[in-house]
Amino acid sequence: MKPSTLLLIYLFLAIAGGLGVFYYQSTVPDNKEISNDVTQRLLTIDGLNSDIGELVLRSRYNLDPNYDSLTRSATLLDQSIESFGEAYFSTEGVSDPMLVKSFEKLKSEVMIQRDLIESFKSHNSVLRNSEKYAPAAGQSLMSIAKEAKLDDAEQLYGSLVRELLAYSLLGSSFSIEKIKVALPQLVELENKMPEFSRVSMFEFGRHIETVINEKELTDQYLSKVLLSTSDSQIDELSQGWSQWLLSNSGQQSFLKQLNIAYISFLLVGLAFVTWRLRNLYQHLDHEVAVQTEEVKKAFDELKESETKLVQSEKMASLGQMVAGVAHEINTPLGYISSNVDTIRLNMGELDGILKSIDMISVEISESKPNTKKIGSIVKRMVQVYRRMRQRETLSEIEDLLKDSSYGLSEISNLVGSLKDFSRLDRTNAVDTDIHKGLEATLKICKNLIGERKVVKSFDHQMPLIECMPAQLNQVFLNIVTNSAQATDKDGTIKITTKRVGKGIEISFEDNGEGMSANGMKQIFDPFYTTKDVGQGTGLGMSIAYKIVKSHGGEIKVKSEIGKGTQILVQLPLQQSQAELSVIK
Amino acid sequence: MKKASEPVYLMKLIKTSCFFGLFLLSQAYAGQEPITPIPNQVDVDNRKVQLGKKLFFDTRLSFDNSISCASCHDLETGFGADGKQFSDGVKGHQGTRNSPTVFNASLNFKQFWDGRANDLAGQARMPVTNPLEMGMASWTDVIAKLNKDAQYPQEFKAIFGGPISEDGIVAAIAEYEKTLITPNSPFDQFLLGNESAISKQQKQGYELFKTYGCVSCHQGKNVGGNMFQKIGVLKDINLQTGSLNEDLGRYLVTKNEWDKRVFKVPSLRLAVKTPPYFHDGSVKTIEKAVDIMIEFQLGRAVPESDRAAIISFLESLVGEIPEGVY
Ligand code: HEC
Ligand code: HEC
Repeated sequence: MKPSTLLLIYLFLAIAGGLGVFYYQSTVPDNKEISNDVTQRLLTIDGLNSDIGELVLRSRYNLDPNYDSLTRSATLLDQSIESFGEAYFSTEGVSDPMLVKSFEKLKSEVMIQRDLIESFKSHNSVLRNSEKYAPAAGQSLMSIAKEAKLDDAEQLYGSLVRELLAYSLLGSSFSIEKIKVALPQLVELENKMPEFSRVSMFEFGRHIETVINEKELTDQYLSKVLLSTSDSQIDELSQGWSQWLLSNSGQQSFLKQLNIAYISFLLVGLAFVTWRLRNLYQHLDHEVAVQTEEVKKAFDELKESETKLVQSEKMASLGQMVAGVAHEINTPLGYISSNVDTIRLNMGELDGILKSIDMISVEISESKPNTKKIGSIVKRMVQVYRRMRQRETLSEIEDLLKDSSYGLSEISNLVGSLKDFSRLDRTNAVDTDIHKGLEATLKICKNLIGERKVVKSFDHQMPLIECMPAQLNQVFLNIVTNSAQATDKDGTIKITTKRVGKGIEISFEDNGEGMSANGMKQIFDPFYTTKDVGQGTGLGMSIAYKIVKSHGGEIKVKSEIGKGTQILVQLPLQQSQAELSVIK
Repeated sequence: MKKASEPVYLMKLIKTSCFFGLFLLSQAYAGQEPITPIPNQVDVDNRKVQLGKKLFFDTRLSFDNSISCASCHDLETGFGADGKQFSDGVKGHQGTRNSPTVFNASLNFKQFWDGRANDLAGQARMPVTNPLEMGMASWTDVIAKLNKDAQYPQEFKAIFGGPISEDGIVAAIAEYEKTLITPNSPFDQFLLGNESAISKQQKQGYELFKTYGCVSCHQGKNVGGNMFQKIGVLKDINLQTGSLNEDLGRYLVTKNEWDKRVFKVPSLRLAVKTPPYFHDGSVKTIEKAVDIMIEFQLGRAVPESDRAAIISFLESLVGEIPEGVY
């Protein structure tokens, strides 16, 4: 399998896993939040429940002037249960049957409670009125009975009022029994009491009944409200929650494991990527090292070949120089050797004369010289001499010798300029006469220049300049060679020197073919050549440029196609210390 | 003899001291009035109020675009009710109950005579689809109708962040109804310490209202509206000549035997302004209504002058209708 497909699969798994974990997380309820919220809700419900207990009691004993507080608490309790149910027991809420059951129990308990409270409120109101009114009504009947002198009636009303008060305030069952016993007697009084008190008597009876009935009901409702099992229901629910949350925590811990697994999965991926990256970098490092090595090698080779090229350029210059010099030497050598041949020929006749002189001296030294013999010898000698004179042999020898000696001086001259040109013996910058270098160069190039006219316009006041003459001569040679090669056989090369400011200027002008603007731009670039392959190295002018630059000078070119080229070399009079070191 | 009388004596002592203690306690709380003032201000969401107001007056909530909430709860001239025994619904239908005022309805613990709605929002769900009232077939129809409006959809989006919905409509109406209160009545001013806010007769009426025991049912902020009570607690309502015994009231909701003829004790804040009286609007005058109360709820006789004082007290309960509610 390709690594890219592997990566894709991995990425897919990572994303899918992430989504899966996320989804699972969303289905697992947040325990802490839930438990806080539920605790809060249960506390509220519990609190309202006990509030209600207190408020009911306060209402029962007339400590609260109205039901507003009780009603508000009851409504709040209702709403709390309602919203609790909506939050946790709606269709998609908690489905745990135990919890649902205990919540339902609490809810129905609260609902019963709510109805009990309402019943309590209703009955308590009615009771309150009758409790208040009945004793008052009894009292007024008491006084009516007193006025009517109905002692029995008075006593009955009196005891009823007393027992009623005792019953309503203390709830004594003793009193209720007494009241119940007394009630039938009230009916008997109806006919005895005065006519006008009928209505009051009727009301009294009704209110007593109301007190008896309502008090029983009210207290029943009150105790039911107070004894509501909501408390224990809340406890049960709260315990159920803890249990449920505990079972939930199983899910939670599974989620935790899931998360850990997912993270490990991601970590593995990360590690793999890191490993791959590391490899990649190592490989890259290696690659870079190899490349650097190669570049370095290429650079070294280039450097080497440059040196070689410079060397070969030097050799070429040298060869050219040697060729020129050889040619120059050859001519005088030729006629000197023929002169010497001729002289040797003529020397044979002189030899005969000298031999004759020897023979004469031998004859003379004899005791008896043979004059006859001497005479014939002299005669032959004179004949030779005359013949020689006739042939002007002697003056010819003279001329030949003179000629040869001129040829030899020519040669020695040439050797001198050779010495001047190369000055190989000098490695230090020395004060140099530039003109000498130029002359030497021209002489060396004489063969190359051939028929071309060389116009020298030298400044006679030219000062000596501090330079490496051999190097400068190479510059001149390169320029002159180029000029000669660029011009026709009958062209002109003009060399002008002059002093300018703190330096000098040497101008080489020719009326050759010239060069393009492009050519001018490239002329000092190494390996730039217009010559045929094998004719030049293409380094000449670039070396010239280097040399002039290293002398702190400038070399410029000005050219026009068809008209000619001018090379201008500017050199300072003195070298700065730094530049000198460069030259060396 | 001594042996026998001692516990009796002790009992009497305990009795008297308890009596005395309770007397002191009730005295201590006597300063607290059973009726408390209506707050001047309510905390509401103004945007919902404005929307609710529009809906409250919008006849498009009814089947034939003839009736709005305000038709039966006339805020301008009817103090939140319509003055009729039974209100006219769509197609001339009439219900069987008198329309109560919507003013101060937010102070009631339950809505409707029988308390079948727990709150205002729950209440507002009902008239719209009640065939005798606004007669819409369903809330979907209502929403479709309102969606044609130029503004409602945007307003609902802005306020509830969604399209028009039943919940949104009733929530807005309920919010608006919260602003329908009548604070600053002369009696409330009196409660807050302005002795001269009510007349002598009214003060006397208030005392009678308390001593006769009206206050044990009509009490709290809304002078009623915080409990259920049977009509005819001290005298069988069947003995009444009118029709008050016909409606079984809360029994129809709970089916509890004891809830027969039980109704929410109505607020008396605007009672003098909103005749006719009682759940079936069968009683035309306040005098007759108070008489019935005295007879059937208190089970006693009250002199004419006391009744007049009580009625003049009821007049002092009428507060101010806040500006800009209609
Ligand atoms: C056809 C007339 C009619 C219309 C229309 C009507 N109501 Fe009512 N309203 C009544 C009647 C009648 C009752 C009493 C019904 C009962 O208690 O069973 C009532 C009761 C109420 C109550 C309860 C007051 C209390 O103190 O219990 C409120 C609040 C209320 N209406 C608000 C509204 C709103 C809001 C609307 C518009 C959505 C509305 N009504 C439309 C006739 C009407
Ligand atoms: C035992 C409780 C109770 C007592 C005490 C009581 N009332 Fe009522 N009152 C009610 C109930 C319940 C209603 C509603 C009955 C119905 O509509 O069927 C009511 C209704 C009324 C109404 C009619 C309101 C309306 O808008 O329809 C008035 C007025 C009234 N009571 C005044 C009084 C006065 C005044 C007293 C004292 C003399 C009094 N009540 C004592 C329970 C009581």
